[in-house]
Amino acid sequence: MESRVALIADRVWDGVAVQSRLGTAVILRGNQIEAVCPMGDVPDGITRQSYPNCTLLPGLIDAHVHYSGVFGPAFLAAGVTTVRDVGNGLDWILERRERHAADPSLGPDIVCCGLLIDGAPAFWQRIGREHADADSVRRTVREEAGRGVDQIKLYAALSKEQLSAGVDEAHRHGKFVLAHLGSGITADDVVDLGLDETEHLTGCEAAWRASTTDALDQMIDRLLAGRVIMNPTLVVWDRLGRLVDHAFNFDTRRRWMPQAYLDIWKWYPRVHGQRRLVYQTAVPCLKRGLLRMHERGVRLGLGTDTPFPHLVPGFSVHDELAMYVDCGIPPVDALRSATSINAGIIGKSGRIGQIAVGFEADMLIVQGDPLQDIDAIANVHSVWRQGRAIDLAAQLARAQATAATVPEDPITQALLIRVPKSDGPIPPALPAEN
Amino acid sequence: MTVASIELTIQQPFGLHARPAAKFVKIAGHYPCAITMRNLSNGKGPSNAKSIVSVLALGIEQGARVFLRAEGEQADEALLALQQLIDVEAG
Repeated sequence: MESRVALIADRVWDGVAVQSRLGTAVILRGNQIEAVCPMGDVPDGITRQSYPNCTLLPGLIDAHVHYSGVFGPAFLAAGVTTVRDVGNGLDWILERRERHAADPSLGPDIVCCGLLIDGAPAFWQRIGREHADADSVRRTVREEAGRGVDQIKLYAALSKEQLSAGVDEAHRHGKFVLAHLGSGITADDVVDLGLDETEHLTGCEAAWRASTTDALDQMIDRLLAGRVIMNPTLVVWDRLGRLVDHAFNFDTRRRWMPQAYLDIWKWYPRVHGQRRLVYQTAVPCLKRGLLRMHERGVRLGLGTDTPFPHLVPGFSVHDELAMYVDCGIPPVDALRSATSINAGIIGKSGRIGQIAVGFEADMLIVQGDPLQDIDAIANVHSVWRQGRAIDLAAQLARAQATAATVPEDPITQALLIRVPKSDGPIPPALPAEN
Repeated sequence: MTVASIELTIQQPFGLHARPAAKFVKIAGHYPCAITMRNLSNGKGPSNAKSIVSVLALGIEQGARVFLRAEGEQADEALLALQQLIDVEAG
C-alpha cells in the first residue's frame, strides 16, 4: 500500500495559472500527485502536513547545467528537482541519469544531451568532442541517439554546414536540438537551420547591443516564425561581467560548493577577465532584448550554466528568476519558465512542472509568496522529490563531507584542464569597443 | 611561529597532473599551516598549495624540482605528509 499525505500550504501555485489557489490541499500517493482539492475535502485518515504562510509550487527545473556528482545536495536544497545537462562525458552522464532515477535522494532528475558536439578545435576536453566535417557530426548524433540521450547539443565552433548536418540528423532520430552558437550565426541562420532552441541568446545579435525596437522586432519576427525557443542564461553573462566582484566572497550559499570550485572561480578572471567590461555593457541590452521577446511571445525557458563562476547549483535558478523580474517580466511568467515551460522544453510535459493530478510529486514549499515577491523563492522551507520530503540538513552535511574532495567527473576535469592554463596576473578589463 | 621548507623532485610519469594534484591539495588542506609551492624548474610560483587550480597552474612535469614552504601550526608534519605522498605516488 503506497503512503498518502496531504500537503496544506496557504497558497498553491500550479505552475501555469496567473494566481495561486487558497485553501487548497495537494494529496500525494507514492511518488505522484493523487488529488488537488479544497482542504476541507481531504479524506479522514490521511497524514496532513501544514505549511502556514507558505506557497507550494512545482519543483524548479534548471534547463542549462553541466552536472557534477557533488552538486546533488545543493540542487535539492534550492528546490531544483530536475536539471537538463547540456554537455558532459557521454558515459558518465548516462550512468548518472540512471543512478538518480533509481535513487531520487542523490539529486535532481536528469535529462541529458550527452557531449558538446563541437567543431575544430573543440573548446572543452572531456565534455566536448571535436568534429572536422559534417559527416562526423552526423556520426556522433547517431551514436548519441543510439545510446539514449534525450536531446542533442551543438556547440560554438561548428560551421553552418556542420550545424545543418547536426540538426538534420538529430531530427531524423526524433531528437530536439539546442545550440550554443558561435559568432557570425544570425537569427536568420537559426531559423534556416531549423534549430529548436538557442542558448545564452547566441544567434540574437540585435539583443547584444543598444538596438532600436524595430531592429529587435525584426529579429524577433524571425524567431517567432521559426518557433525558436530561447534559453537566455542571463545570469552567466552577468557573472562573467562580475568575475572579480568582491561581494561574491560573502555569499553564504558558497558553503554548498566544493573547495575545488571556489578555487576555479577565484582563478577564472584569468580566463575571460579582459572581457568583463564587454559583458557588463551587454547585460543591460540583453535584459531589454529579453523583455521584448517576452512581450512578443517568444517561448522562454530558463537555465543558468552552472557551474560557471559564482553560479551555485540550484540557488543560481533563484538568481536567474530575479534577473527575469529585473527585466520587467512578471514573476508568474518567470516562474512558468522555470517550471511548466521548462518541462515542455526538456520533453517532460505532462509529468513534471505542474501541480496537477497524475504529475510526479516533485515540489517546493517556500515561505512567503514568490508570485508577489520573487525573492521569496529563496526562502526554501521544504522540498519534495518523488513524493518524499528531502532532509535539507542531511543534504548540507553531504555537501560538506565532500567539500575537500576534488571531483573526478568530466565537468570538473574539463575545467581543471582548461582554467589553470591561463596563468599570470588577472588582466585589466578592456572597454567594449576593444 | 614554525616555518619549514623542503625541496622535492617530482617523479610521477605525467608530473603533478589533475589526479595526484587533487590528492596533494587534499592532504595540504588537512593542516592548519599556510603552505606555498614553487616550481623551481620553470620559475612559477609561489602559489597556494591548498588550491587545486594554483597547483595545476605551476605546470609541474616529471623531473621538476619544487620548493614547499609551510608556516604555522603543524608545518613540519604537513611537509612530511606531502613528501610521503610524492614518494608513494612515484613508487
